[in-house]
Amino acid sequence: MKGKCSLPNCGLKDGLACELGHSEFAKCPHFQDVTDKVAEAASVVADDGSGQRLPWTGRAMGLSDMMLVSARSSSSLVGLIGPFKSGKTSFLTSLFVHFAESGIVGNFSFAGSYTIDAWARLKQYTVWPAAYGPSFPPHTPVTGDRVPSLLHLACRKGTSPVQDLLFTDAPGEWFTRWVRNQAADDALGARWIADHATHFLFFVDRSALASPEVGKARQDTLTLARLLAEHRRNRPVASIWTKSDETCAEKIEAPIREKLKEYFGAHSSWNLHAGDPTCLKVLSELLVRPEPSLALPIPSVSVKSSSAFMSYSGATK
Amino acid sequence: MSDSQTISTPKLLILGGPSSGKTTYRTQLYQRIEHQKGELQLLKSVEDMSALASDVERIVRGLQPIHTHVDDYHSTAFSIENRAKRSLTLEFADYGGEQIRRLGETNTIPAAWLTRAKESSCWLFFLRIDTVRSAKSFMTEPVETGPRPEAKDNTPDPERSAELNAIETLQRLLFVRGTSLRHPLSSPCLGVLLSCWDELAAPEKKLTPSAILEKRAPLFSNFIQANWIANERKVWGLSSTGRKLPEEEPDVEFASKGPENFGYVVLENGKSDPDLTIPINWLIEHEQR
Repeated sequence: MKGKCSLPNCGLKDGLACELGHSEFAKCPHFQDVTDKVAEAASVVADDGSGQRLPWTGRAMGLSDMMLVSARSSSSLVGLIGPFKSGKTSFLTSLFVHFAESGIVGNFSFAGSYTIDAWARLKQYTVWPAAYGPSFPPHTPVTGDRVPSLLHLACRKGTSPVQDLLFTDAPGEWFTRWVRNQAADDALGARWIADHATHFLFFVDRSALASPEVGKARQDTLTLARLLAEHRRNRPVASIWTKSDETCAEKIEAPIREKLKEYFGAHSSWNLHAGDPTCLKVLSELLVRPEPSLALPIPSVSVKSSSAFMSYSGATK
Repeated sequence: MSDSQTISTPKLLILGGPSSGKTTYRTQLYQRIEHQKGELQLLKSVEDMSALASDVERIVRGLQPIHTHVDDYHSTAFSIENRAKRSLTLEFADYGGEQIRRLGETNTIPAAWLTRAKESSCWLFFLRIDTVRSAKSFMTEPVETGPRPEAKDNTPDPERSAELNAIETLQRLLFVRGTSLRHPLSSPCLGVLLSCWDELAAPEKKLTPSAILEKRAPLFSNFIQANWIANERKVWGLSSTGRKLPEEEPDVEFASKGPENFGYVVLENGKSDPDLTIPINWLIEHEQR
């Protein structure tokens, strides 16, 4: 049996089950048979009906498959908020690459992922030797989706119930639109994140603040931070200052850091770059319950200048 | 099966991708139980040798068994007894490992595998350990030229690594079995055989099987530790023939000494033991509790 589904947003073409619940797709009124000639198209599904379709594909999740993890645990949805090119996707890549080195973070062990291929794809860009040299992951494509792509990680501490984390991977443009017009149709995705996230990571591009574009970078950062603060409803926020291995202008940053404290209150603040395993400490904080932990001050860490972690400046109080 | 000493047939599910060593292990397991050298011994001749005969024929000549055809799935029944003289029938399946690779890649689990996942009570997972290695990333191992700023989004999807495919295969089979993995599992019990142990470099061979798995496949290692309670999982090293057998020119020394005198499993403590039946015996004992 070969055919395609005409229902918008049905997960069938992505390898998921029929949105209306038909195990035999041919019985769904939206399912249309196609001839063999066009059956090679990507949206066409072929199935003899005897097997079982899985509710995930290994690629990034959407609205149809996120119930998979919300059903088994009180999963955390981590909203990554930040302007265009502030390093959100690179942070996710760095998180996975460093985590995959040991499979352990603090007292937690890797316990699975329903988006294994999405993580592997991010890592693939950074791998060397490679034909065109390693690179940062590409810019997250701008779509009109109402829900961002979600990356999943399950971790377990000892024999406790599994803890599921979902990370949003949204293009920075979504937040630009949200700042410009909060009610805009094309800010739907940003509003969804602001409404549904249980935790926020707010991204600041340090290299942009040291560049000739500093004025725009400062403005983009502060207007977005203010808007997030207005929608935050006491949910935990941490700020992630990215590209710390590039030229940074600490004097320009100081008033912005002060402003973020004013907007978010006491919150964790991390100076990171892609090669810095300190990103795992952010993961560790996200895993430690109770959930408001990110909002609480965390112990500062003293750092030796000879340490590989030297770019980590500890928590801001 | 009317004998009061007979214990029920263990429902063993053999798992492993292409070239993971399933066929060679089964052939050598047969050699061991036939020559009655280990924990498990053959009680009577195998009734239907047809699925095993060509592999046995090759290994007794000192040749590597040939890869199993992708669409094949055939089970051979061995009547065996353990040291306590309890007898049982061991159904040991062999199949083209490509089936497992597909299982991890297409999004539909075929009906036959649904049944196997649901009805089995112990799983034996083969992972060829000498080729498992994670790719270097500039984020953890700096590269001299430095990364290009940003990739173009036209790179094809990477082929899933053996480590990630192992995780995805287990996740999928556990899901269709109805397990949510909310809590660590006590069933099915899981044995992991790290095959081609003899191909590891000398310093790595000194490590225990768990340590090698942790080193070479940390995500898979943690996935198992996090999702099975400690008593219900075990990892062994495996070299079914003790050395790599040729595909065309027979290894005469191997043939003349006899295949039953080659091969070993590496136990939890890192010591080798020539008894290749140990993992199967552990699974059987676990199932009978």
